[in-house]
Amino acid sequence: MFRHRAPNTILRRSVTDPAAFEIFYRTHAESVLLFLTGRTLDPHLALDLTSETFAKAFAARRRFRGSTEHEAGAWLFRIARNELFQYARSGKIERKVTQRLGLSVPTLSDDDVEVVDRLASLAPLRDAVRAHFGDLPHAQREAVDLRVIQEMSYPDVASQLGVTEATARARVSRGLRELRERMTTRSGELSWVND
Amino acid sequence: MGERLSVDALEDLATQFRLAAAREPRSRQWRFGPHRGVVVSLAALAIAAPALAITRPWNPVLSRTGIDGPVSTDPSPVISSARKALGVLRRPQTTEDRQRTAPLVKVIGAGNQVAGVQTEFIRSVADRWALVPAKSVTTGPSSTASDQLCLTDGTSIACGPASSVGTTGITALSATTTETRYAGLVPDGVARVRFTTKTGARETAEVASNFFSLNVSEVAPPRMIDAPPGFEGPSRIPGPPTPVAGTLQWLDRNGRVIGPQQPSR
Repeated sequence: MFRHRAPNTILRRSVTDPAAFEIFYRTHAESVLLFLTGRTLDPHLALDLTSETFAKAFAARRRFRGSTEHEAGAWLFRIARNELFQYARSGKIERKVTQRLGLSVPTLSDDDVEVVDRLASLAPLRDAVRAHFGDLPHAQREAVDLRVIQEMSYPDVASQLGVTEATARARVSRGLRELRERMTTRSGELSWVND
Repeated sequence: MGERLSVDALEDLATQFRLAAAREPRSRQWRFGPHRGVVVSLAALAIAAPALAITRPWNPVLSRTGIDGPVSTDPSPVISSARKALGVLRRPQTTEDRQRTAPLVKVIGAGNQVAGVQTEFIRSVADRWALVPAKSVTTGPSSTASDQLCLTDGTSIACGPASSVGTTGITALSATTTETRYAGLVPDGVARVRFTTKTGARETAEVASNFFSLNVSEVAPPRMIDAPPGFEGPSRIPGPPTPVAGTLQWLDRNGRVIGPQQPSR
């Protein structure tokens, strides 16, 4: 006798009912964005990474083998961490799947940035960066100062430093990673450095 | 479709994923009733299911056969500021939207001015009126306006910038020989509109789906224009009917004026 098991997660259901993916997206979108913002200190970059994270989740949802909503969330965050890792390594924002699905990354309005800043508690994080970044190597310190503290755009950072945008992004990313390690060693009280 | 996200850009992405999902072919699946042991999340889905928008793509006819050229469409969502201002754009498109607007939107191709119609955001806003967002509208020999919201009643089209619908609204104004007709879009929070002519006559109309329509039994004095060549008669004749000048006000549900005074014509 053939028995069919109904899908027991929204993500599994979205395999046959693609419209259900929007429910999955709405459940996790803010968490993913804030997670990525906390690690990049950059809401605009975080939104780009969030878009690619969900695009990859949408394209790969058939491969999800979990059976609970918690496992679906963990699966999604693994994709998000991988996006972060790829970005930190290359300094480039990958939008392959975003573009393949015909999506375009929206722009964060000033209101949006304010909301994300507040929800991700970026102000104390920026203060912590200011306190420790004198310890960074010169090239990284410069890049982090321009991007995180002075909040310049990446094209402007690159122009100021006389490097490509990819190099500017890589320096900021390595600088933040370096800061994270230093801050964990010294104080360990910042929640964002603890995964 | 679920609670609104607190970041507009994320809301924007939600709409894009909805459209991406609509473009995917659905696979066949035997459907069973609820099983024992199904997790609570399925119950949440069952509650959400009635609010799920129709997801199959829609290709309405946007031009008159043999008269207008083809009209392009665009899958991107209407700009977020307009969606923030207009609840009618935030709710999902329904079967009723498609059925009621299909006969009206055939006029969109008239004059080949409208391009990039955002079909997933077409809405029926009243009996015989359709809201048609479009990425661009040609406004002159070498000028176009981007991100427009257009209103049509199936015979004419009026468009305005989506970016300012929250502050100035979109207004379609016309006249017959005996009355001035006002129709338009207003942002959330406007419950009624009031039109006052320069002679003091007043008309009010209720707002529903961010839309209003009112008629005033007054027109402006006819303007005289040159008669066409070959016309047998006076060299100057009355021109087409002109809407009467007046002021449009937005009122909230307590009757307070909350909208900017519209410039009189």
